[in-house]
Amino acid sequence: MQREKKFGSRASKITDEFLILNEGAFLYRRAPNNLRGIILMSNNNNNKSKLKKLKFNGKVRSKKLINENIAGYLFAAPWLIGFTVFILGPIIASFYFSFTKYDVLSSPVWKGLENYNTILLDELFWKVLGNTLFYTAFSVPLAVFGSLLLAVLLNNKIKGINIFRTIFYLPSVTGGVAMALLWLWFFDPGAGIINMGLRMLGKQGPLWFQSEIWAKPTMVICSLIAIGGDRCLLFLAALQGIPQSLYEAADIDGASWWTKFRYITVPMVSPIIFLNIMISIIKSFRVFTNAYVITGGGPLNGTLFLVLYIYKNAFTFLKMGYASALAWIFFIIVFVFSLIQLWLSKKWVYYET
Amino acid sequence: MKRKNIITKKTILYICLTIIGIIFISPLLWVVSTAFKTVEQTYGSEITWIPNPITFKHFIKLFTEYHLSIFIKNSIFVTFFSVIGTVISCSMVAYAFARLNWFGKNTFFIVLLATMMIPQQVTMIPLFILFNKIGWINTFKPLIVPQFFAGGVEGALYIFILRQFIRSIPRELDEAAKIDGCGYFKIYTHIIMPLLKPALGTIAVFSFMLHWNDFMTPLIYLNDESKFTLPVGLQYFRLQDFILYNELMGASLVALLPCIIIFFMCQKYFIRGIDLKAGKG
Repeated sequence: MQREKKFGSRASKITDEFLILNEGAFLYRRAPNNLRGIILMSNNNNNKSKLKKLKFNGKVRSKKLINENIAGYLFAAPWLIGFTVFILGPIIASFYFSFTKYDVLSSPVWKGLENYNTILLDELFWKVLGNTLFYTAFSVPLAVFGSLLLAVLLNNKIKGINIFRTIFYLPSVTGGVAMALLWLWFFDPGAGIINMGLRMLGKQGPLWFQSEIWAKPTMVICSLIAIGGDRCLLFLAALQGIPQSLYEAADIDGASWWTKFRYITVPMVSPIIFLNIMISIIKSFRVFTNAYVITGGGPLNGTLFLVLYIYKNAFTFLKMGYASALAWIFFIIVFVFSLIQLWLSKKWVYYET
Repeated sequence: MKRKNIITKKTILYICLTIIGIIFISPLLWVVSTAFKTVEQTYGSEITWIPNPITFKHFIKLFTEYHLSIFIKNSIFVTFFSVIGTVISCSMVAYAFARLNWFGKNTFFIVLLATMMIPQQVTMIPLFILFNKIGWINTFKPLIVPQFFAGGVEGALYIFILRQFIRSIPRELDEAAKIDGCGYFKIYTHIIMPLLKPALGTIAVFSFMLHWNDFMTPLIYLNDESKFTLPVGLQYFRLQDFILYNELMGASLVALLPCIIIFFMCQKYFIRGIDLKAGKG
């Protein structure tokens, strides 16, 4: 019953196309097996010569199918090769290495679960995980709330709003080492602008990146420069979808700005809030450049984050096996968050046309 | 009364936006300011935003003593070929996924989407070992070659975006071309590619930003000073004790400038790319 219904709707769609195109041969090729009869019927009435052409094309069809398969594989070949060589192969290899001791110079030695055991007993690993969680716990809520507030401010139709949008977006595209160096200079304890400003106010600023207490919070502050980017735009798109009538109704009831924000805006954009939280979590787990360039993980390993720890183990200490095991733990953590994100985005983010 | 309210509201809004705008833009302005300042003024006791006098000494020093031009050249080389590779390979694969029927297409498409969740950190160690074995360390090949196989960090996302765009191109155009005797390759080059230009622009801009700023990959593969790209070169500057913040900021400005220019030139691509992700495209 359901099948019929499904096919029914598709048939009508295809006959519609037929009416528009009047190109029986192509419709025949594209139609699913069960529908050919229907299409041929609709074809039959008004166009006998085309039907003959169809039959003539019948033998050519299988050859065409083979050709299309070959073409498909040829066009997809870059990815098929790339996927095998640069993704699938390395993943399998990485999983294997995570059970070995491997220093690149000599061949890998099978050690079973030893790497994972060592990680669980490694105090530094727990500190690294703690650092990463601290960074995530502070940067994610601040970033999501900040970008939502920015989006609310930007969602006003006033003159010159596009200029502000551009200015807010700009710092999120200028990432990388140059920005990291900028922060290093900005928060320099001696001649940096922040401490100079504080000194002019008669206060002695902290050592920022060089202080054990302040290094992590400063990293969080630096990450907030990017809140005007993609996440803010996602919010902006969501805000523009909120019916204006809701706010008008609230205005009649004399609701304050905060009440409207709390009871209309936040619930209406909640899907995007969740999405942005997930994006931010994954992003903050991957923090590397700032930590590597600014502090190198110090002071006292206070800014040694997970990815930096993996990098150091692999390419500084050449402990490839141990680093692979760390990478797999990292992978599992990120994977869990990605799955949540995928599940959420299936509900709220558009994928198929 | 109500009009007055609106005016005060607008004024407050403008003040808020301006303050936030200043906070957002000030780090970048500070880079520019430091790069053109004299050393005395930089380390003086007062904050000065506008350099007085303006000096180009630091840039001259960067280009004559520190080989900044080599890093720029390397960065341009790597970024150029990475973007070309990404655009060609991703558009081909997207065409295969959007238009052609081949065995296992749907399964592979799910696999493609799944690869978006794999962090680079998992594959970087085996890849290093692989490239080490075939002697590609300290060459640009590990940075460029994977891009020609849609194997970059963002390859899957680009393919997905392009596929969505191709699906919005009317199939009738393909069919018409087929009647005229075009093969699949000709349809790809003569029908799909020209119509795909806006989407290709998005991909090119995204991948430019990614590869221009990429730090980890060149850091892993390039050891020789003469091979450094700009990000690695900047980090290398930082490690040298005798280099001053003025020069460091000058070099940073050189690295930031292309991003800023491209951003202003291609603003619509950023917004459109997001629209697509958000589901408005």
